[in-house]
Amino acid sequence: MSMIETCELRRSFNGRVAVDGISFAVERGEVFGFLGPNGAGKTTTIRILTGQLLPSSGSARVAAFDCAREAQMLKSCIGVVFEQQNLYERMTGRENLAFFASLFGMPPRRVDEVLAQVDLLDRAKDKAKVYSNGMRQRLVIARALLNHPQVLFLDEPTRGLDPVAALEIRQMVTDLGRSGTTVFLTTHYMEEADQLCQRVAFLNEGHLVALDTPRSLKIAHGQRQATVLLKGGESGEATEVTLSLDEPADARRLSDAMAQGQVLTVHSEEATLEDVFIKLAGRGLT
Amino acid sequence: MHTRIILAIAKKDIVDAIKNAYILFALILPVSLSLGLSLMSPTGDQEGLPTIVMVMSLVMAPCMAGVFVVPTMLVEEKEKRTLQAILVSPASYLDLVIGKALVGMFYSLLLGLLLLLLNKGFTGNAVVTILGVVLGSLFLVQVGLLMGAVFSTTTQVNTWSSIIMLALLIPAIFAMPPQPPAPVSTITRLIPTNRMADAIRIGLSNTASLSNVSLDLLVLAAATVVVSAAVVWALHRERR
Repeated sequence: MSMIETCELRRSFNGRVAVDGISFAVERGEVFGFLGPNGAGKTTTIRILTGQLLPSSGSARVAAFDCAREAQMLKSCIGVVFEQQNLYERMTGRENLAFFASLFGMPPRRVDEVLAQVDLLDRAKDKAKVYSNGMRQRLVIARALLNHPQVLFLDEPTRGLDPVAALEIRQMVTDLGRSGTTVFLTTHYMEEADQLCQRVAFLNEGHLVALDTPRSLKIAHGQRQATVLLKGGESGEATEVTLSLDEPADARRLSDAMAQGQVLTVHSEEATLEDVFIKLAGRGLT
Repeated sequence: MHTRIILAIAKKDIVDAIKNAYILFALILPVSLSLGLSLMSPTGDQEGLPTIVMVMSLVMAPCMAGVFVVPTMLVEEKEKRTLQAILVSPASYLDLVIGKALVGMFYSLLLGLLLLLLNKGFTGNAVVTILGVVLGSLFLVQVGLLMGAVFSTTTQVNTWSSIIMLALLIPAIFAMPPQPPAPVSTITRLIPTNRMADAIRIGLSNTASLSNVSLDLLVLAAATVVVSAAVVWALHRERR
């Protein structure tokens, strides 16, 4: 059974279509990336999947619950990390979590467990307003983990964070994926999706334009060639040649060059996910 | 509707409200004004300054709690986006609204009790006085919930709560003797806070009985039902 399943999901706002008939499934324990530029429909999709918004048509199920008709039951199975760090600033880290733990009916000890999990136990008594950006993000992740969610939704979890904080969050996501939690991640950072996600879906103007593993997408849409830097001849300057991966003659040439110790570097012309997106969507991510 | 969740929301807000400087000021103001004015007033005057101070304070305090504190708390949740976090928990929007209403009632009644203790205490008919305060608080909290459902920013709340409070407090003043001329009294008698002030004024007098204030309480109850219906409509419109 898929943990997340949508079928022809559609949502409009005052005649403007935000999500246009998207269908996909996410398996249990998968880290799934939902990529696209601002305004592509990522947040609208998350809001539908988390029961905050009704679809205009189509269906969506999360953890076997219908997102439209069984939203209240669905909420006990999911955790959501929003794009904005929506914390109660006048309350401490512990108070923030204790409040949400009481909403979920979790015991008080669960608060310390998640604080330890995100390495905030020693700052739990500080008010949220004095936390750094990275600490706030860890706290909202801790909040999303309070109820042992089967599915974790992360909406742009590293947006606005410095590289160190972003690295911490990505490591956390990797650890969560390894622990068996299904993670639905939206981002417009392609490198992040490439690093974290087992499969990615590209969304552009409400349409799903691709869905596959990052590797398959890059192979399918990359150039089947390699750039080889060869040692210079008598002139001493290195020369760069482009060889096709499909031409036997080019393969022999590379093999000969390697045998003669002429090869300095070899780089494949692999596409990045951003290149793939531009090719499929006809636009960049920003 | 989940009782545990509603109480958790109310408990959180009761503590958090007083950490908000604006809310704390709004709650302290009627008590401070009443205390100051009653210290300046002569004692033993049944219909003189102390009764006027008591009645207006007992209307003003729930007004502050209902028309300023409640919408501020609701709108802050929207502004800070903490509302989203609550709505992806098992709490429903109805739970949240009832929780905020409980906080409004808590502060209204707490301030009312404080005012009665700080001033002359209970004179007249306690049941009538308490009914007037409770029903009036309920009405004012519903007004606050309607404002919280309609407004999106604390700036809007700050602007409109002043205007709405004035519109509610001025008719309350006209419940005090001497009664205003007929056209004015006809209009002001339609405003629920005028009825609230009238019920409390009668309740604090030695001649008070339930029959004296039955119409006042009926108008208050009817107004509360009407505003509650408006709240339900506004919340339904705002949801999804």
